[in-house]
Amino acid sequence: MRSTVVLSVATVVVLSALVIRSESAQRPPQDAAAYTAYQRNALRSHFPDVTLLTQDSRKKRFYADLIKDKIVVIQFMFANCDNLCPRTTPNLELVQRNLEKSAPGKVTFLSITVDPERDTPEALKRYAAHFNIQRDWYFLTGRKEDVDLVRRKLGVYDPEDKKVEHMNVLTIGNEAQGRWLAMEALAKPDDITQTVLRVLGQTATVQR
Amino acid sequence: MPTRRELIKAGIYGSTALLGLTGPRLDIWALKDGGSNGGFGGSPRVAPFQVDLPIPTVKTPVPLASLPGAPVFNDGQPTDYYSSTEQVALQQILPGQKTLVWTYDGTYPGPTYTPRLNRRIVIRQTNHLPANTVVHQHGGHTQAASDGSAFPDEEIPVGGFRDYIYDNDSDVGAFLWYHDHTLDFTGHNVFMGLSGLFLLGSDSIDALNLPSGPFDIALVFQDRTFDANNQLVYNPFDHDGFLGDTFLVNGAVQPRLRVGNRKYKFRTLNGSNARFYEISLSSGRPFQIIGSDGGCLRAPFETTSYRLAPAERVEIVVDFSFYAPGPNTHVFLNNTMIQTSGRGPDGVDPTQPTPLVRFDVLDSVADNSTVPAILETGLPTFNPAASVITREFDFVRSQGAWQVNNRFFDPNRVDAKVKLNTTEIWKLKNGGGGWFHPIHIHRNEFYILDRNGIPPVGPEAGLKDVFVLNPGDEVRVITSYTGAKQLGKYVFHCHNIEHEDMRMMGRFDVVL
Repeated sequence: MRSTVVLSVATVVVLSALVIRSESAQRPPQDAAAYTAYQRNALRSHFPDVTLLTQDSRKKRFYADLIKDKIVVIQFMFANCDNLCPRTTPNLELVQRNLEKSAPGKVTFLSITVDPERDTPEALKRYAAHFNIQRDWYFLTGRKEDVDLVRRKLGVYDPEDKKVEHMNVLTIGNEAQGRWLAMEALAKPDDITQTVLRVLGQTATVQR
Repeated sequence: MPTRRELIKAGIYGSTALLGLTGPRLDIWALKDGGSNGGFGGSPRVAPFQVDLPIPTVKTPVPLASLPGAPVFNDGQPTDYYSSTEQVALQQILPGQKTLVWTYDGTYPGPTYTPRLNRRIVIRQTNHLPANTVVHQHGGHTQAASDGSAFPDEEIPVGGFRDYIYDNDSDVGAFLWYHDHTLDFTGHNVFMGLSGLFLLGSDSIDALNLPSGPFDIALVFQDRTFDANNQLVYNPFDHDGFLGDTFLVNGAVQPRLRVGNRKYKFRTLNGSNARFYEISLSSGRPFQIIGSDGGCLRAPFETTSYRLAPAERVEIVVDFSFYAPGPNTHVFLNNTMIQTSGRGPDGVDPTQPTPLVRFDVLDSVADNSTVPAILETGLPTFNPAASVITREFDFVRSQGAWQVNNRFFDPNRVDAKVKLNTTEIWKLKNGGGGWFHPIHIHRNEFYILDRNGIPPVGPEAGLKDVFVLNPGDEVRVITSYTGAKQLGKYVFHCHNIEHEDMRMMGRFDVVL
């Protein structure tokens, strides 16, 4: 009985905290810091929190587990791709190696298949092994409608581009700061690395 | 069922029952999933003509001594110094809750600079925003280090400052502006408010006796979308081009302006990210176009409407002496361009005008101003026979994004090396696919030689720094790269800012 009461009180406290937090996040911003939180909160509801499967068959929710509080580089690919992916994935692997030197452990890579019906976790695992991909990199599959929703919400769903079903576009973001951009997946690794570092906040700009 | 135009004339336009007819077009959102403002909802509806047109304040110089470390010059050219702080501010845009905006010096739009031709100014921009920024003075003949050309190594860090030097050594005075140009984030930053006016004055313009002083008014057209809390929320995942559902002029929703029955000069700027406008008067009366991006035209051009693409400027003289002053005499400056996606305008529909400004013709005033038959006599000439090279640039859509000559922008790759004091012709082509690209070339004003083989007329025949590549278009432009101070790296790019942020941009260096 006592433990139930304690539990209930704890639940109320937690719920109240959540309500207060969410209300404060939605209050119109009054300063620069509040603006960042406000923009982040607006985007939070934009990201679909669909469940995807990693190359190790682990379930991950797109927003809560893969995006939230992270600096991410998101690529769309498929394992049987003989066009762009064989070049973009190794390109990103070089970026990851660069970032391991300048910002170790800070950036998560997400490669989401646009062919989820064929790309099982096992297929993605083989693909990752082929490119010698190690850690901080999820290869993701899921229900087709969920993957398509992620693509549409990230603005990288191009119905015109029927031949190459995915785009040569990386989405790079700092979720906590609400800062997101898109750039070419085949840009030079150094250019992509510099861009990720800018989003991360480690700019090397010098005051003139 | 009365038409909207009849309702406007009857003065009942804007009542609650008719609000659906104002700027907001709900189909903009219905058409797109994940597109413009996808998932963020539409703006609160606001009745038009409830506020006066805001006139941005004119910036005044500060003593050199107040800017420690500022550059000092010994070349005899007079220099004025200014100080500006990039900061967030709360501004009353919609009724009720104020809107947080990103500003130069606390206001959106930012303060207006009014330098004179050949008088240098230095602006110290201090960044108190929550992100690094770059300031670009659009249309200026600016030294590379002060051009604000989207290079990451030229950003103003948070808490830092940068001294921008503007020599103002163009050929003629012009209606210029300034705005953010941060690589990958320009769309967000301009959307949040980072833009202002830069009116480069000259003796030759003053001598024309055009409407001046209080009768010379800038109108900045920008579309925005607000959330339920009256806040601006940018969708960084809309790469087609942002379209807002609310029309602002100088930062106010469809404002009104009290005018007299005389001539006015209006400097119109499309400061929108991706929206095109077709500007006309509700009366259908003609008016005079007197200026383009880079200065006054050689001669006035009479018309009843004109297209204004993102970043383009057109200066017009409107004569209100045709209207009898009175409390019910309203003339509307209308937009008749229909646009439902960022890829470009759908076309002009004169039966569906969106009023941007209501002119209330109330006062009887004298008018000594003129619109001379010959305007700017100091315009440069560029001789096509003197061109040392014709460069070709194809603006294409590829693999879901936009490229120039099949490449994305790389700030470290030089796409063209231009020799100082040479004349060049650039042939710019649009790969098609239904996308419109307003192309902006930094550093120099130029002339359009021809568009699909046809020489330009009207404002396109004047000095330009932005022009539209309609789907399938081929446009040839010419300029001379004079100015020994202006050596170094510059950019040219699509001024649909979302396309620009997707790196539809090239780098050119001006070298000895």
